[in-house]
Amino acid sequence: MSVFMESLRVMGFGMLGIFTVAVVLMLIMFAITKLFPAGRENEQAGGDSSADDD
Amino acid sequence: MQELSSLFGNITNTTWQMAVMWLIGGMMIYLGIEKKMEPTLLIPMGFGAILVNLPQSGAVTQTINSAVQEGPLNFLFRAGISNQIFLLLLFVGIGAMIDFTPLLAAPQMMLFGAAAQFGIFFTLSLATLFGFSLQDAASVGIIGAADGPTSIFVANYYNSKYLGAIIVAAYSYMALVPIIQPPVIRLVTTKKERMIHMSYNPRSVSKKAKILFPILITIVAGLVAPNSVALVGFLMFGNLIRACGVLDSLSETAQGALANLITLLLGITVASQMRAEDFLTARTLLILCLGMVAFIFDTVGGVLFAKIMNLFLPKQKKINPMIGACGISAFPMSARVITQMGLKEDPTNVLIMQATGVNVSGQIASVIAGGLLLTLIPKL
Repeated sequence: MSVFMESLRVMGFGMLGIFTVAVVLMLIMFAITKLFPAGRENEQAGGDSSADDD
Repeated sequence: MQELSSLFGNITNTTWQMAVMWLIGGMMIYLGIEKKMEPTLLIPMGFGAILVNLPQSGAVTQTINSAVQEGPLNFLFRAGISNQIFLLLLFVGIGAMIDFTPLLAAPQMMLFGAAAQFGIFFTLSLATLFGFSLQDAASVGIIGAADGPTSIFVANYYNSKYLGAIIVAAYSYMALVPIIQPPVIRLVTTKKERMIHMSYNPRSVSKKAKILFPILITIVAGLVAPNSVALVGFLMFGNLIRACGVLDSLSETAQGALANLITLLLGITVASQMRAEDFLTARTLLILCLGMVAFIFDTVGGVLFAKIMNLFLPKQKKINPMIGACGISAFPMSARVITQMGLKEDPTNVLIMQATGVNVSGQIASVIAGGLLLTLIPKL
C-alpha cells in the first residue's frame, strides 16, 4: 500500500510537472514567434534574394 | 545412425513454450506484413522472437560446458540498448523528421500534449496495485507515452525485467491507435461536441523561431528534468539539423539512413528479451492489459481536458474535444484518426492542422513525461 501511496505522489507531481513545463514551453513559443515574426524575415529574405540573384 | 541422431538431437530440446513463442513471432510478422502494423519493428521483432527461442540458439548467450558464450543479440543489446545509444541515435532521426511549425503557430496546443500524458501516471499507480515496484510500474506506465524509444529508455533505465513485454505492448498499441482511440473518444464525447468547428488562424513562423525552438526546449528540459536531457537533447538536435536549413544532407541522412539502420538493429535486438522463460508469464499478459489502459486513459485525459477548457471559452472559440486525444505521441497516426473522425461526423469539418499541432506537442510531452519519471522516482 505504501508503494501505491508513493505512486499517487508521482502522479500528482508528474502531472503538475508536465503542465508546468508545458506552460513554460508555451510562453517560450509565444515569445520567440513574437520576437522573431515571419513578416520581418520574409522582407529581409526578399531583399537578400535580389542580392543572391546578382 | 548415431551421427544422424546427434545431428537432430537438438530437436528434443524444444519445449512447448518455445513453440508458443514461434507462434507469437509468426503472428508479429503476419501483422507487420498483412496488416501493415508497425512493420519496421514488428517484422524484425517477430523474426527475432523465433530466432532466440530455438533450442540452444547461438543468437543469444548460452552456457555450454560451463563456458559462457555471448550471443550476438546479447552483444548488440549491451552495446546499443543498455547504454541507450541506439535510442538516442533514433531520436536524432525522429527529431529530424518532425516539423514543429503547427505547434509554434498555435503554442496553446502544448497543453493538450501535457493532458494526454495522464494515462502514463494513472497506469503507474494502477500497476503498483498489482504488485509492481515503483520502477517497474513506471516502466509499464510509460507504454502510454505511445513512443517506443521513450518506453525502452525508461524501462531500460530502471533495468526492468519486463522490457520485452513493454516493447511489444508499446509498439503494438501504437499500431492499434486507429482501433483503440475512436470508441474511447465516442464514449466520452457527444455527437454535438464532435461536430464543433474550429477556426484556424495560425501565426506565421519565422526560420529564426524554428531554430531557437529546439535550443530553448533543450535548456528548459535540462533544467527541469536533467535525467531526460539526453533524450530531449538528441530529439532537438535532430530537429535543429532540420530547421537550420544549412545541413540538409545531414538531415536527410538522419531521417533516412540513420533512422532505418537503428530501427533495423533495434527490432531484432530487443527480441533478445523475448525468450520464452522470461516472456511467457502471467505478468506479460498483465503488462499488455495495463498498456491498453495507459492508451485509453491518455485519450480520455486529452479529451476531458479539452472539455474542461470549453467550459471557460466563449461559444465561437470552443474546441473540438477530439483533438485532445491527439496529445498522445503516436505521430502522425493519431492526428490522422481524429481528422477522419471529424470528417465522418461532418464532411465540412477539417481538423487536420489543429490535430497535427496537438500531436506534435504530444511528441515533446511524452519525452518530458519520461524524463519526469526518471527524475521523480529516485527522489521519493
